[in-house]
Amino acid sequence: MSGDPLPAWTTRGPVQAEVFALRMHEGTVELAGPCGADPWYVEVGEDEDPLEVVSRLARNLMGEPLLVHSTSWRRARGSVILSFVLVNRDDQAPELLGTPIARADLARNAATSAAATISYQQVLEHGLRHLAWLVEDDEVVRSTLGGEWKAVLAHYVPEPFRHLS
Amino acid sequence: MSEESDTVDLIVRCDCGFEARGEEAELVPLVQEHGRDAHNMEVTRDQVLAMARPA
Repeated sequence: MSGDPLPAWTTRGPVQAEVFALRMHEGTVELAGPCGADPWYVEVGEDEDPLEVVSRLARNLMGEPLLVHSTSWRRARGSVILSFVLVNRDDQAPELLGTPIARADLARNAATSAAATISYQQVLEHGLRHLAWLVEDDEVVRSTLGGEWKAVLAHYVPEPFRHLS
Repeated sequence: MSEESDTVDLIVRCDCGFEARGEEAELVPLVQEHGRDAHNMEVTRDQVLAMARPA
């Protein structure tokens, strides 16, 4: 019927992967995945490894990523959302539009107040803080990321994997 | 109803911004392919048609 809004079909299931596909462009980190300037959601089957699923889909759609790491989890979208940062090469998947990312404050709950809605920008902020942690803590990450990445991550306070609430 | 009702163009939109349009026979596999390749989703024909609207 002409007046009815077109419903958007979306991912579901008890576990979903939320992927921030990142790329460096002229010294700035861009979000440049299959869903453009938005996080990319992937269903994870009950017998599937989330990291394997994300890596496989990314490889098939954009080519082999440089790095894939889970950074946090939370309840949202009716699911457990496991968030990932995925780093592609600077020249990878040029057909995908890149949007520069901005810094965000990480809202932390007070002891007696209810959890506020967490924006994906805050999840991504934490994701990059965790990447800053990994650059210091993980030899593979340190050797994989180039100088431009390390220069950007130097501005992020390192944080471990977290449950965001 | 005219014969055109069997060949009406349909449209499906994914939350990620992907849109597919066409007759049922071409739309369903397009949407299923997108679901599988982009979101690791297995979508049945009925599920596709439940989300579809006339273009």
